[in-house]
Amino acid sequence: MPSSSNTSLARASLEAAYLRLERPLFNVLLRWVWSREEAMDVMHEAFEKVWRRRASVDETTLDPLLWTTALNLAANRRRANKLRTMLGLDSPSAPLESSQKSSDEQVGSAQVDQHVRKAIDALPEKLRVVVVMCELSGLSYETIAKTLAIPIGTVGSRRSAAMQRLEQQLQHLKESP
Amino acid sequence: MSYFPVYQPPPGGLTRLRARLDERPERRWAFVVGAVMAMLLALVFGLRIVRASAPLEVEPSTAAFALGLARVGSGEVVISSSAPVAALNGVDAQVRVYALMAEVTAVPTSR
Repeated sequence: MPSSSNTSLARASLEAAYLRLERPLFNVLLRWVWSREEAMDVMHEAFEKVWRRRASVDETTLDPLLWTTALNLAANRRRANKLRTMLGLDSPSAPLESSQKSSDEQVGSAQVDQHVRKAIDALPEKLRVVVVMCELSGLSYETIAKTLAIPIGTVGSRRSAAMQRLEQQLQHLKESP
Repeated sequence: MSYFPVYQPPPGGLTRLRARLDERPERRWAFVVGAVMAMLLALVFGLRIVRASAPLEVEPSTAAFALGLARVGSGEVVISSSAPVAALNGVDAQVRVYALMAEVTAVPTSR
């Protein structure tokens, strides 16, 4: 049963966290699974998982817990999807461009999106998680460092390394008219 | 050019989450217990069948002893081995031996 004590999570707190994290979390997870439906599913699964453990969840650490749970689930889902694609059980997901977009999202064509996606996908996981979190989570370096359990300096260095690789791989997009 | 455009999540996310949280949790443990019980039962019966159908050796002296007891007693004895035995030691009789787990029941069919 929901409770208002610090060591037990209240339903209202979880829902408030959802409203707070929905957009950034969705965008980060989207760079793992590359499917809107799957990103939503992983996000909901993370919230559900945390809710099931609500008796032992401290509300003060709810956000980092949700981030780490969701990232772990997304990494698992990504591995499973890769395996399914390799075995021919599944086809690669469609480009995001074909889905609904709001006005501020109408940047670039589907082809450009595919190139960007390939470049992000090609990043080692350690770099990818940092750069995606830095660009899309809206969290500070310090919070990202705590969430990923790495030193704050590593966050900066990995982000730089990841951006360098992306620049190199996507140079041709900038040069083309 | 941004490599990380921000996408809008599909609408109704919170409603879907609420429905998901309100769902009755699956009783997976019941399926697990059922499966374990079924496996145990299968194992027990499987072992019984294997043991019952295993060939047992009968020494002539054992069979004769059983047959002798059967003739004297109630017509049914338990011995420690099994196999169809006929007319041992000059006794004109047949003995059917049934293997049931570790014990064997010998029943004379004619005297």
